[in-house]
Amino acid sequence: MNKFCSLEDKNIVITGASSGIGRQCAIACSQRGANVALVARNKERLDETFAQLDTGNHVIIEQNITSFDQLESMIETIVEQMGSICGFVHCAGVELTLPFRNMNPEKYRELFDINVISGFEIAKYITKKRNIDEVASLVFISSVMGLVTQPGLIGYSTSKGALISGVRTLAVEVAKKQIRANCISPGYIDTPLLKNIPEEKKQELADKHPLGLGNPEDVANAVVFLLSDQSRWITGSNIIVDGGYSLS
Amino acid sequence: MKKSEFIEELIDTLELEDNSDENTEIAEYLDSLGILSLIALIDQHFNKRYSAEDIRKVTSVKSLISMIGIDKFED
Repeated sequence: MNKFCSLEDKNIVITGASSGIGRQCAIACSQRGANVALVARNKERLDETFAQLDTGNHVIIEQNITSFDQLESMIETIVEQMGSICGFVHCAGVELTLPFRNMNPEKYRELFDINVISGFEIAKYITKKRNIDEVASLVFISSVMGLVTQPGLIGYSTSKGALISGVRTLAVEVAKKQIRANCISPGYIDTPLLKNIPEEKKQELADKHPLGLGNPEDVANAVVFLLSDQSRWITGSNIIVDGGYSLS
Repeated sequence: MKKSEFIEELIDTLELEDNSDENTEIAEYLDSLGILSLIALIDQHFNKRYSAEDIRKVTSVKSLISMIGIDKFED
């Protein structure tokens, strides 16, 4: 196995592992030798992800991560089954396009619960001394919409922007324990979700990306790098993986 | 809250050694974030709000318990 960006024998927890970027991150981590804990609500789709992993000591955790009072025991279960945790990737997230005038507190809360709070709560339990390895890396999937925006994305953009700024604080708090925390901000990714939109709209989106639409693999490669020892001096950063979308 | 339960939470909050007890020295764990965590812990369980200055005087688990007041614990 190529040692560059090797994740050999590292135990990695991935939320949102049942589809899209989360699924691809799990596959990429397993290909680099990691053991992966797949976390999501849908067991059937987690099984589909599991079936695509390279061999390893992987586990499936069927869990609604907005049930905050269950997250500590979820992490304890993972540690019991796999051993101490070396990496965490928070891919779980929801998108909402709704004009500002139609938003309400409940809609903001729903976005923040999944996109932000669940990730930071899980990180809190993972970084406890009894659960974490000597060196570890936390990666949060934000969005280029946390930096730039479009009409109708006030809830989504603020939640993804919160991830980016929150990760900076997290990074300085956990650095003394040799734990790193970083964000990745993808542009539009060609996932099944985009297949539902009309072809001309999809082309319009693609045209806004100088390098065209991205694939889940493009994001997963950046995740693997941030989880690996090759990024040992990178923390509190936000890597933009958007094919140039945010340049214009 | 029982004293033993408080010590367990203290171990978790300040990330003390698992076998810590009343005689454990905790001053070295009280950096600025440690102090804030401790203030929040005491506020949550005893509804008492100490200042950073107060917490800096604490040396051991025992001295912390006596600052809060031994009568505030169930055992």
